Amino acid sequence: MAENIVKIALNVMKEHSLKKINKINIKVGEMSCINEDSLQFAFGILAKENGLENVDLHIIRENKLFDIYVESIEGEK
Amino acid sequence: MKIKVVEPVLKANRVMAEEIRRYLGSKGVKLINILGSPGAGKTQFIKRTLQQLENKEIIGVIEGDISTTFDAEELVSLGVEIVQINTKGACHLDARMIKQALEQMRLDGKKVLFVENVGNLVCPAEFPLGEDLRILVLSLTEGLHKPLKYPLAFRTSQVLILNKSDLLPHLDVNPAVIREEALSINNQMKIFQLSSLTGEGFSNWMDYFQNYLSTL
Repeated sequence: MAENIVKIALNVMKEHSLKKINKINIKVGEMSCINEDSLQFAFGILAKENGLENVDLHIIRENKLFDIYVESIEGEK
Repeated sequence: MKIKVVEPVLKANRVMAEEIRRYLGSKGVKLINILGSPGAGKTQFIKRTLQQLENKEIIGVIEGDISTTFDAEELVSLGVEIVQINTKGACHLDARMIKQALEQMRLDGKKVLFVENVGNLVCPAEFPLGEDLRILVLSLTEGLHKPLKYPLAFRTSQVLILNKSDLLPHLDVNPAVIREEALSINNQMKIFQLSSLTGEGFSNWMDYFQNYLSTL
């Protein structure tokens, strides 16, 4: 899960020629069984390994949603 | 700057699962993904289903385990083709593992592939494998409120097997409560209460499965 978030972020970074990513907003369904602490922990390690330092993974919980998706990415050109 | 993305995190798995579904469809084969906690009785459920089936040659089994081959060995005597996947630590099967397993499975003459997922009610629910049918095996010994605790597994499964009904006299569990909770999550769910060990209640499931096979 964390690996895919990093992959999506790196793709967006390349497509939009971003120099830096500050924040990744992900939407997570209330019923998706995602453990936020585990996801933050794994994301922290993988992001660092892939050169994404100090990125805030912002998790937005959404009622009735079963899915998890990257909603938006905030960064600098 | 803020860039709108809206991309499912598990898109890559879904795309591959859809490829598998289409590929199997072109061969006239359906995949049935069997989920459940460790010890819910998934292997016994598959075993008894196969034992009661006359034309076993139309079935193949993909066995997913973190390690060991005990479950596959248990099914070998039934004479069906089995491919073992060891996930080497991963708590669920994903579409890529199924794609690799299919390279070892003969599909000619087969109609159904049972996939026994890794024992876990959380992660396997997030990873479609290209299945036509998802079956959730829940043993009555697991107690109440599992549908509310693991809603995704119940939401995404079409069939619920309430297994180990032979133990009911020894349990403080009312299956009606589990049924009600399961249907509150997924009102289309077909529910069968049975014992894979003694065979009680199994005929209702077999009628359903034979009917499913006849539509293929």
